[in-house]
Amino acid sequence: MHDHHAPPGFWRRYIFSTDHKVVGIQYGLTALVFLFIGYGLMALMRWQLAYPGQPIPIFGKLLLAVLGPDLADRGIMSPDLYNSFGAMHGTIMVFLAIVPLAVGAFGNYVVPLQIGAPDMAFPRLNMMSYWVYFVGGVIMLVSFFIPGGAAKSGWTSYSPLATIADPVHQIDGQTLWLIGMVFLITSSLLGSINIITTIIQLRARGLGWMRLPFFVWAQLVTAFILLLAFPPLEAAGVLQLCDNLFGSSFFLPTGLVVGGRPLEVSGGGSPLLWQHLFWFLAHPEVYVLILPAMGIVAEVLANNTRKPLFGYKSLVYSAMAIGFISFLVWAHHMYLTGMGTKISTFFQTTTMLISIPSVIILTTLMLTLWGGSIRFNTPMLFALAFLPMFGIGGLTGLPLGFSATDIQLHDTYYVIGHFHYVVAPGTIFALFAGIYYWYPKVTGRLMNDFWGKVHFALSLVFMNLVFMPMFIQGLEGMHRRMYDGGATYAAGPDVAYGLSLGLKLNIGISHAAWLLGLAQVPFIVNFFWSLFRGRKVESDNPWQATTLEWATPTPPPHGNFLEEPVVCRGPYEYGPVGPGRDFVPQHLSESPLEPAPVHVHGREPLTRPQLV
Amino acid sequence: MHAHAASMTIPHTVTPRPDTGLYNARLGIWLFLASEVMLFGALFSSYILLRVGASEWPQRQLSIPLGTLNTLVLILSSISVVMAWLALKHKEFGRFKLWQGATVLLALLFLTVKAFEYHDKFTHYYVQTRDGRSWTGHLEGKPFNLTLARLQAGATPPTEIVFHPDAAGHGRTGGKTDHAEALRLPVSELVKLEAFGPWRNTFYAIYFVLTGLHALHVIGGILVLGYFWGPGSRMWFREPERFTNRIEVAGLYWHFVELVWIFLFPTLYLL
Amino acid sequence: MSQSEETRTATQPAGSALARHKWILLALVACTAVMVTLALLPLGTGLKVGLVLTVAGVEACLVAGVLMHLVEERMLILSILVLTGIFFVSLLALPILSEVDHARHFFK
Repeated sequence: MHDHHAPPGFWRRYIFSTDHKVVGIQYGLTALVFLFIGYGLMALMRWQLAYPGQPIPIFGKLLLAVLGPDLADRGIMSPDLYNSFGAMHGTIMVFLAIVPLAVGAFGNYVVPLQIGAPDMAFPRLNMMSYWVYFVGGVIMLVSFFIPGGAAKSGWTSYSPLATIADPVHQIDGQTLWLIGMVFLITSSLLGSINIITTIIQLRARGLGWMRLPFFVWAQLVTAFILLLAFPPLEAAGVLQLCDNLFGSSFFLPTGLVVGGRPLEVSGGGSPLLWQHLFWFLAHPEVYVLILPAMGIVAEVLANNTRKPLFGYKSLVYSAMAIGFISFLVWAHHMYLTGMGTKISTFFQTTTMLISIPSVIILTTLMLTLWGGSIRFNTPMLFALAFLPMFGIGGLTGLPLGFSATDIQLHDTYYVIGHFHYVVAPGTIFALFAGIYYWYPKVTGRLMNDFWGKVHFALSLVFMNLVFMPMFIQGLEGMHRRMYDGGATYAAGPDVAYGLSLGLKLNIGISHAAWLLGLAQVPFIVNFFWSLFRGRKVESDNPWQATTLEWATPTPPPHGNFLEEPVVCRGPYEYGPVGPGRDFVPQHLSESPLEPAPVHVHGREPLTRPQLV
Repeated sequence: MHAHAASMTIPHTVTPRPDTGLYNARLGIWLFLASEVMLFGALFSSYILLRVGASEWPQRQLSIPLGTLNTLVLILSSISVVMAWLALKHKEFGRFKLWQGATVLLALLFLTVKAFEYHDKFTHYYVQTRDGRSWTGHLEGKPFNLTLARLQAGATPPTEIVFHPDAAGHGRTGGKTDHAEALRLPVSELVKLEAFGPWRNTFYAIYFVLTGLHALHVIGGILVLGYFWGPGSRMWFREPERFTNRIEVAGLYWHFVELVWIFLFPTLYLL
Repeated sequence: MSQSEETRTATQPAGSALARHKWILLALVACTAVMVTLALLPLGTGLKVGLVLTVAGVEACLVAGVLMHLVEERMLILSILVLTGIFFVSLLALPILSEVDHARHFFK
């Protein structure tokens, strides 16, 4: 590295910055915008589900003006548009909002600080990773406005549907979806290589493996999942792109008939192949969504219970076990695809196995609360709510993991309820906790606690009002992809009873979903208001936390630490250590309780920093 | 260590970290290669699944002599790339230039051969007529990637094509080039005319994707190795150790490209 | 210290490194020749696939082990590669095993 004496210009500092903190903030803001867009798509879909076939108020005119009468005639959501929004809601939420927020933003910003590093190991790669992600996001957004509209085959893009969904246009939404995905995957790869190398190579002196904050562990495992699980989807994306553009038949079986005419392709492909390659990524992806969230929750819980995490090592080993097993469970999404029954049993077994480390993590986090002197501030409330919410999400997953019970529940609203409990009140709550928790480090000001609590309370209520009824709908058998919310199905001759409740619930869920959006207004206002008017922090460590990120100036300058930190102790040394003092930061060499170690200047202190 | 914040030096860009014994880029490239293993792993997995699922799998569709030639070219280049690195280790910059240049040239040779093979496939045709007869062979004038639609789309669509069918049992390019007697087929009689592209069957589909992706990696290698041979080599005079590391890392990547080919060659050409 | 192992090859005089790599070159060429010969022999498909891929495996091990100096690589990198290997194998094996009920001709 060469001298950087001249201060970098505006572009270098804020736009094409290689500073991990700027990249992290860029990721965070972009991902929050996508979170908003993803929510917006769903809010519009919920109108169609609650009031099928009626023009959407206000936004209907907008849709008509922008997308034309083919997709939104008279402001009514067309089936194609509904499918597009459904597919893109999933894609945007998973690949453009949650993962970039959890890994791109928090991983980038917090990991180097927590391990005492001046930056990421490959800063330029880091910048590229953000911009590749940005281009991928732009491609996804552009796809809404091309003829035929965005991809409409679900976020899973199952073949052959994905290839034949839009036979009119050569370059259709699916094509752009695939190209966008290649960008997003490349971005993830660059990011994960960077995070792993940083954690392994740039840990501060004395920061041994078992002294890493759990958040860093979670990010490490997550990065490994991204590194090894994403490439197969990239391969699958290339294959599907060939099917769509060059007429190959990777995923198109022989004898495919579309619209009454045999499709003019060679055939011989395997639709199951796509599903294997897709879920090889997409199941581990679930753990990419949840592990960083668990990491954030662990940090916030330890800090606000003022005691060490219960069973730190169990947490670490469980995270590793989750990371490993997550590669071997993917086909539990495919029980009903005609896959062999013997292999279903294998995947059922691994699926049950992976619930063990998940339960261990949840249990240790709950036991951390025992006997703590809990501070109920906003980040803590979100972290606390994460526990039962993720618990509901996890436990409702078990019936889906059994190949027998999955027959009834597969592809119903039960599935939607299940994974949204994991991701929405689960991961998103943890991400909110992280935003409220690290906001003062990033900006030097605290977010308003009262409005934070309002945001929390409303979000908790409406999240549950949205997703809890979906379990009932799913158990009634309502299919997850029905354009009219199941109205035609319920009126059919095969349905003796049921679904009547499900249909009524649609209306309630939709209203709760819109109110959930309104409940975010206090957050958005608080977020920007606090930038300028929030209470200034009095010290660099406003939460009285132990980990290294709080040992930097606020906000941390380029290069982070004023002097190279040396770590002398574990990450969560909370507890009464002296009058008015209940924590010992990691970099403090002497504990206030113990007598000061015999310390001849120039020699090593007694508490030896360990290297491995 | 002296990683003071003010100077903002990233530790271990050149010197290895004591406990891992690695400098950053060395770990980084292996992580990248691990992800590449999974990328090609998925494609090999697809190959296996498609082959097992196929009612009959076309074999010996490709020229073994050309494939062998390319294998040898890559083997030579993976030796020369390691010699380039060793030359730097011995501080012999001139020899480095020689070996590195040789590697880039060999990589270009590989691509040239590959381009000929691709071209052969896009000038090799399958035709089918209304009465159900079908042939494989070449069109008069060796047109590139013609289809029935493109044949009829011209300003003056031809009324017939002159077709040289392959001798019996020889569907592959580069084998015997002797053709049976030329056929004159009226265009109105044709129901199918297509070159041996990825649309032909799943074998050609996976062949083009696997070799195409591999060729992209070769092109990437040429760019990287060529950069370090040319403008990038100036770093040698400023930071020789760091430059040597870069060459090692680029070499590891190049070996991986060779490694993939070692499996592509038998699975696509031989078996 | 750290670099001692992998620099061992490098600290040899240039001539011996060239000689050593000549042998590796020969071995790689020989593997290729064996593969092509095996492929042209009239053997059963199953046997042929097994043999040719074994030779390819040997050749790949030479490249990975010697040229990429994996034989003297750090534990950390080897463990990452072992992990990758496990997932690689499961990615290869599990999709095909899921076809067991259908592709009976293959799993006789």
